[in-house]
Amino acid sequence: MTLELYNPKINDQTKDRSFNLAPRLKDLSNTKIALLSNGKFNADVLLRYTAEFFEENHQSQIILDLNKHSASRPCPQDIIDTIVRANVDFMITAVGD
Amino acid sequence: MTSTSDSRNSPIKVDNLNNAIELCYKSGWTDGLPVIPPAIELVDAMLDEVKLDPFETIAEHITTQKKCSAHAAATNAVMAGCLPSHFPVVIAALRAMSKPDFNYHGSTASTGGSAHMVIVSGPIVDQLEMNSSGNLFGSGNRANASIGRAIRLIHMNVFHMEPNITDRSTQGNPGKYSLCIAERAEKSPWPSLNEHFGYSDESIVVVFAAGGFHNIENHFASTPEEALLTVADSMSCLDSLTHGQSVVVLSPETAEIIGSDKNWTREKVQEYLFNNAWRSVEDLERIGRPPMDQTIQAPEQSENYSPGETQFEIDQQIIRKTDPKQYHRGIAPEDILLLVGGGDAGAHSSFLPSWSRARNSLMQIEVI
Repeated sequence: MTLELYNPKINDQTKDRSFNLAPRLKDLSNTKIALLSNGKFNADVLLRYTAEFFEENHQSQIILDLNKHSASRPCPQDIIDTIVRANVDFMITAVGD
Repeated sequence: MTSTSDSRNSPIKVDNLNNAIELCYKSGWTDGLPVIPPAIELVDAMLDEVKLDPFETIAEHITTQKKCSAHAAATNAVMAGCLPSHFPVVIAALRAMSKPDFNYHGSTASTGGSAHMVIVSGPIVDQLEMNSSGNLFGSGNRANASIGRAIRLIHMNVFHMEPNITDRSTQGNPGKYSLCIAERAEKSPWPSLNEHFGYSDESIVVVFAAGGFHNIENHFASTPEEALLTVADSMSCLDSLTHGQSVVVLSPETAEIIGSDKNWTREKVQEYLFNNAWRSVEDLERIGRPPMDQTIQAPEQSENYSPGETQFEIDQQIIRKTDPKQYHRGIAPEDILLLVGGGDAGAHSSFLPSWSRARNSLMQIEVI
């Protein structure tokens, strides 16, 4: 007896997931940085430590220091908008625990 | 990658049942137990039951933007062992989990290892002959077992939350095979959950991202206070003391002790449990855990401030405390879902804490 089965492993997307990478920076000196913590313990420590590297070696400046509060939820749109409006050169995000 | 359209247009031919079962294993479609091979006539019967277009979206993960079509849900419900009559409960549970505050993706991906609990209340419990009695959380009932299992298979096969790949749970959870229970309304001293939430003539599901199951036993309790203090003690254990929500399933025996005094309404029980399920800040410090509350500076400037209280901000909500040294489970009595379930004999109740350390997933309700 031949059976006909539907494949249950289905991958439907609500939106096109393709994206473009931001242009790579040619020079890091005097860049403006945004920091975004995922809200878990110690993410801010890791962020700060990483940012210091750029401050000391590239004279970068931290323009924004933000926290999205919940590690397990998508970043709120108002935080994304704030980062976009700040027109920073790059953003660093960190996952702590 | 297979879309709903691909799945429907290109069925897989298998020459016999044994090979079909093995194909399900080899294709990575199972939870480790054998499944019913999703034959097209079984899946289509499932869809006929709910009169849904196979391509209609039932649920989605906001984070991954993956969606679950009615066809995908039906195919996995067949594999879980559901009958067509069970499918409306699966659909309602998926719709409830798709609400943003449930945080569908996070609760399936986390190291915390929550199991997605489905609680069914209302006339459909008897219509489907669901188990609300002995071995409530155990095995033995097709509807309970297969509805809960369908949800899990959909997580794995449609939302691609696969163990140790995208589901990064540290130790997992037995409820990840299946966690679906029915309310035993006839033994409840209080209105059933569907009535409580305003759906007297309808059936509902409540979905909850549940942590581990705590058995609560006190065969010596003879007063409501003694019984409820035992529950509150389980709720305040340091390993699961968070501002998250709780599910408390009282055994019929314990519910009878509490309900024998009509002053103990559901609301009074919730308030009593909330007021007694707390630990001191010093207790938290003993295990090296900082309080997760952030004290609000100058609270007297905020709305509805009462002199002498301290205000905290938890997940952008303002919480008032008269004693800042008490760290409660949840942030309000309504955070405790209270129902009755289990067999007639035994003072064995249960408490299930929410997943995660905070309020990253909130329980949701949907009419079936």
